[in-house]
Formats: sequence, C-alpha cells, structure tokens
Amino acid sequence: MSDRPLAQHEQQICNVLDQKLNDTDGLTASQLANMRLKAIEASTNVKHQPMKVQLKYASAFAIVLMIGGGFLSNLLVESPMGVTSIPTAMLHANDMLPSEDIAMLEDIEFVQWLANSDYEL
Amino acid sequence: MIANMGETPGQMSLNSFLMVVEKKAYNMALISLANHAEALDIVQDAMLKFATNYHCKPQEQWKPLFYRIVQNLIMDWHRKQKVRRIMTFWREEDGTPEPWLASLADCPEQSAQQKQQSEYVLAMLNELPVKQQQCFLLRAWEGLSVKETAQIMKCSQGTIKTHFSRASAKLKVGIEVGNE
Repeated sequence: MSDRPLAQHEQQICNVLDQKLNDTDGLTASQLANMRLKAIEASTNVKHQPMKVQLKYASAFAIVLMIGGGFLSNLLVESPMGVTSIPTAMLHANDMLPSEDIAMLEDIEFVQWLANSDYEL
Repeated sequence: MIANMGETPGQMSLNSFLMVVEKKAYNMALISLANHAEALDIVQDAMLKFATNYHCKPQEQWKPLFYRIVQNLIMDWHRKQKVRRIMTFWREEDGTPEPWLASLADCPEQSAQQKQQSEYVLAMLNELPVKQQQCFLLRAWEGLSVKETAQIMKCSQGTIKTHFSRASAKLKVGIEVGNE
C-alpha cells in the first residue's frame, strides 16, 4: 500500500490472497488467457473505427445545425429588428371611414376622370 | 507471456498489462460474487471494455481505469442481484457452497491448516459489505493509493479511509477470533 505500511493482520490477509492467486487452476488460467486474446483482438478492430466515429459526429453536427438554423431563422423573423412589421392598423382604416364619405370620394374621382377625358378629347 | 510475432508494441504492452491484472481482477470478483462463472464474465467484460475504449490512454492510467471498470461491473452485478432478490422474494436461496471455497478445498499443495486459514480469511472478506471489501482489496492487496481508490470507487478520499478502516477493524477482530 502506497500511503502507509500494512498492519500485521492486513499483511496476513494479503498473503492468503497472494497464495490464492498462485493457486489459480489451469482451466481458469486458460479461460482468462482466451479472454485476454479476444480483448486484444477487439482492440485492433477498434483502430478502424475513428472514421465511423467522425461520420457519426458529422451527422450529429449536421442535424444540430439544421435544427439550430431553423430555430435561429424563426427568431430573426419574429424579432422587430429583422423585418419591418406591416402596419396592420392601416388594413382596418377603411372600416373607420363612413360609407357616405367613400361614396363622395368615388364621385370626386369619377368627376376628375371625366374632366381629364374631356380635356384629352 | 502469450505474444504473437505479428503483435505491435502497443498490443504487447496491453497483453502484459492484462496478464498482470487478470488474475487479481478475477479473484476480486470471485470474492465479491462468490460465483466462478459470474466472476469470469465480469473479467471478460472488463477486458473487452478496457481494450476497446481505453487502451489508447497513457499507460500510467491503465490500472485505475481497468479496476474502475471492474468495480462498476461488480457494483452493477450486486444491484441486479438485489433487484432479483426483491422480485423473487418467495424463493429460498440454494444452500450450495461457494465455488471458490470448493476450489480451495481441492488444492492439494496446501496443508489442512493453510486451507482452513484461507477459507476463513476468504469467508471473512466475503462477509464484508461490498464497498468495504473492494476498498480493502484495492488498497491493501492491489496497493493503490487513497486517491486512486477514491477515483476508482467514485467517492471521496475520506470515504475511502472510512471504508478501509472499518474493513480492517472487522478483519482484525475476525482474525483474532479465528486464532483463539
């Protein structure tokens, strides 16, 4: 142990454990060796994976970019600085004018047109 | 050492490292799980995870990383067992002896007294709470520092000291009782 020396009973237990380690039967040892070789083989196969990992990250980045882009564009459209808002009050302006005034305006327009056409003739 | 001619230095060092830690990891799992097949499964999973995900890390980090994987697997196994026990509470536990005790009994080199002492010590370790048991094994047997053990077991250094001192005190009492 790196921090303090072992007490007597701790050392005694460690000795028993070391003894047990040395007494590992052949079958278990061979099973462990097979597992080790499989693990080493797996580590060599992993070396081809960085490309896959990069591809995975690239596709994830693209998705995030699409979602983020859409969200950002929505924000810009909704913000007052982005696009000047249409004065919707003007749309309802006609409703506020009395119907006689409109008729009168139409008459004035007609008279003006008639005068112009007479002048042209 | 099993080293093929086509192995790179990295693979050889990985092989050497796993060769050093595999038996200790197996015995740690065996003491904690008291099941030979499950202990082997845990070591296999740990080796595969380590080799595929962490073998590119600096070699000085290998030992804590490997034991961290082993610890996580052991703790996961205990959690699953706890859930299984709750789900199947009506079933009685089978009274078969732990295989590691049986394997010890089969060892011809040991004298009867040594066998008895080994069995007693292993049974004591097996009876400790899992965290105390693993803390003791990592600190005393594997020789890891408080800091490394804390990193492996994902808890504070103070907790490690507490776990270790409690485990040590219980084992001391156990040995004293055994000697009487």
